[in-house]
Amino acid sequence: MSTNPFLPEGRSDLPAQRFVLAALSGNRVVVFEETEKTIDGVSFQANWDSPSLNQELRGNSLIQVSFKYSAEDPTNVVIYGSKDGGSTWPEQYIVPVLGTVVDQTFWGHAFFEQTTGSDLRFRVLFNTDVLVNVYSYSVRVVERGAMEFFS
Amino acid sequence: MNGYKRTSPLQPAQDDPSRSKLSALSGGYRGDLAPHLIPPDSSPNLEGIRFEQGAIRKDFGARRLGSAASSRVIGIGEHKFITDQKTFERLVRLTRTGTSNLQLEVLTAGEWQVIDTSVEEVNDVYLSLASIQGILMIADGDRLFRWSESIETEIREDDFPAGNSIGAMDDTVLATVGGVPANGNLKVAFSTTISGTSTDGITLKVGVERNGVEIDEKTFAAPASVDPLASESWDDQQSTYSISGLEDADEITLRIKSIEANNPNPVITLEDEASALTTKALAPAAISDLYNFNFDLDVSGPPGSSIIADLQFSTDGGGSWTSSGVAPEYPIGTYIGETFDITAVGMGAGDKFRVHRTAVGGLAIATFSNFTVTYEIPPEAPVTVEVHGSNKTVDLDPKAGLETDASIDNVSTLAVIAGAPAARMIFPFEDYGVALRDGGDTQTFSWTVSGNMLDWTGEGSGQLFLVAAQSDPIDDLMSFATLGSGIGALFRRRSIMRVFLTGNALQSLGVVRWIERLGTDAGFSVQAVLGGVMFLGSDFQVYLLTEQGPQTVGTPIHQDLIRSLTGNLDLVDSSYDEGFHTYVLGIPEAGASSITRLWYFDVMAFHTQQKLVWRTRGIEVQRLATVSKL
Repeated sequence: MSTNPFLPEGRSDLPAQRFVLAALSGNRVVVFEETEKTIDGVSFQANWDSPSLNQELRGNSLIQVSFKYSAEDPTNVVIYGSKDGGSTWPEQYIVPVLGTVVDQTFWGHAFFEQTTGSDLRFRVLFNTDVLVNVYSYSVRVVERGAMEFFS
Repeated sequence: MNGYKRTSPLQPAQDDPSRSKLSALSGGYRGDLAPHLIPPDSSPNLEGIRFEQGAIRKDFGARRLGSAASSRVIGIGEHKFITDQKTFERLVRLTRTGTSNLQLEVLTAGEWQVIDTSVEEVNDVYLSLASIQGILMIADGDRLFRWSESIETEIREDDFPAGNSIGAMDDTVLATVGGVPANGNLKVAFSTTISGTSTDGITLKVGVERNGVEIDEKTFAAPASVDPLASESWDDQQSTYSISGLEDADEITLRIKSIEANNPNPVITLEDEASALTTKALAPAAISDLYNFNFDLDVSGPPGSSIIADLQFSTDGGGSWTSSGVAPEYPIGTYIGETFDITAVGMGAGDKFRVHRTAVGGLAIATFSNFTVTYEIPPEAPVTVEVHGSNKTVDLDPKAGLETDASIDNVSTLAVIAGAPAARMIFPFEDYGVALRDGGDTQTFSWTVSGNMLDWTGEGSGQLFLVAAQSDPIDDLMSFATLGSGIGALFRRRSIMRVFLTGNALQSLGVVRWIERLGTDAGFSVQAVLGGVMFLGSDFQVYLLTEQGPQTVGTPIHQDLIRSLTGNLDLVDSSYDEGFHTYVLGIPEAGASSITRLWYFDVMAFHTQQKLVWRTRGIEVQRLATVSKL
């Protein structure tokens, strides 16, 4: 995994109009660049939420989320589970990921015990400055039947 | 109530195949579908994500450029221009001073440097910028500013080494450009002298090289002369070059490429076939006293007889003879092309050579033919050349070896353009500058003289008052974009008009109705992208406009925009990343006074896969821009 996947080797720039600038709060002008992991030195988080894992009007339990990834360095990815369509994320699983192996992907697994509801979702949270690419996922959802749930 | 009374025993896992298969995750944000209908590769909620090889990952970070400005940044842009054979790309930051004047800064060596401040005041609004034909045009709604730079130069002199002189083939002498040239102008001075005698003249070729690459060849020719004191000089010959990319420390070399001269006294051939006796005609002795005898010989007589051919010379005109020591013996027979080198010391004008024949063993008879003596004499004066790279400092040559133009000052002009309309937006269109004025009921579309961004009143310029509107009583002019060759789109609040070149110098541009009931309230959302122009429509839908008309591309975020865009749409801004073909739309959410969220649209995915891939990140932004170089 290259830290500069879009730039040919030996090139520090490309001729196109490709540097997006912004004047941020505090009257700071910044340039967005693929080599930067922070916004002017301040870390930021990124997350991606899954669509609803319930395909019918039935209750389900989220058992496991597996995801295929590669990472530039070892770090953690946090997988959250929600049973209410993302309103709350009560259950989380911190998945340690391997890194530094060029172009090699691994599987990470997150396990859940109490995420049962009618609108299950999971969230991938990147909360470190290490680049992790998540290529795909697989979930194990157990059907609980057409039922009413109480919190 | 027992909430679990209908709970079934735990069932074996029944994986949904559609949820288990591997797929890319680059479907982007989908705010237009119910969560259970969103495809597995898409997301109902994402933040700070970008897509790479079908994967999701954290979006790029951002690096700060220089120090923060002292006040809100109301304009960022790139000003490209060419002057003195150099291309400049100035990254410009525009702010408003405490006295409301326009302050222009340029990023120089990683830090913002204040270049100029206008005398005139500027409005506290998003500024519209356009870099057109060497001028950065800046519009604030009431004025049209121009900023331009020109370079003031002085001559810089650098010398070749003191006392330098080269005279042989491939000899070189070098001088170095000693500072950053303001342009590509270069003058090289050197002197040349050619001396010596010649029959056909002397030709000297001197190469002028820059960093080892020849940029010129100078030829110097001296006429034929037998005068040993003949000499031709070319003093302080200065040649002018225009070199793209001339830089500090460039090496300028003079190289002697060739010296062509004819020997004034070439090989002398003397002949006397009849007597085998010849006379040396010229005064100079042969080089190294070497003379070459050539002859054919037929020897006849009694068997066993022979002839001794003693090669002799006389240094007193034939009074006495000296053997050269070369005396071959020839038995009876025929000999063709006999040749011998002899040494004859002391020969001068009128002196002679001969072959003294002595019969051996009877009366042998020798008959010579084709008898010649050849020899070389030196020229009367050798050819010499001298090339001297000029040195003004020490050798006191009239000119310096190198002259370049050094920049001593950048002359900056930041001022309101006299005679220009009060412009809210400014754009390039073909060879024209186009200005829009959304002044209430005076909607003015103006353009410059072709090729002259400072002339808004001369022949070829013009303006149209677009008072007639079908979709809206006022229908303000909001933005403009070039759609194709000679075709532009004029965005109004509730309509889009087509602008075209008329071909008539007196009315260069024409405007006709095109699309009604669709325009934009966010003039700065208009952005030229791959294959068209994108903009935030007046219905909060995002469109891609081509010459065929508008296409909706913002459906996945349409509901989000309707929900969040409750504030001033003048604060919407946009940008376009040509490297990733990404349209960036910045919006102020929930009535914020600046942009709080960026939406990114993958234009290439739309063209190649017909997919609407959007992503987003929350970030507070004052202005957006795109530049080609940092």
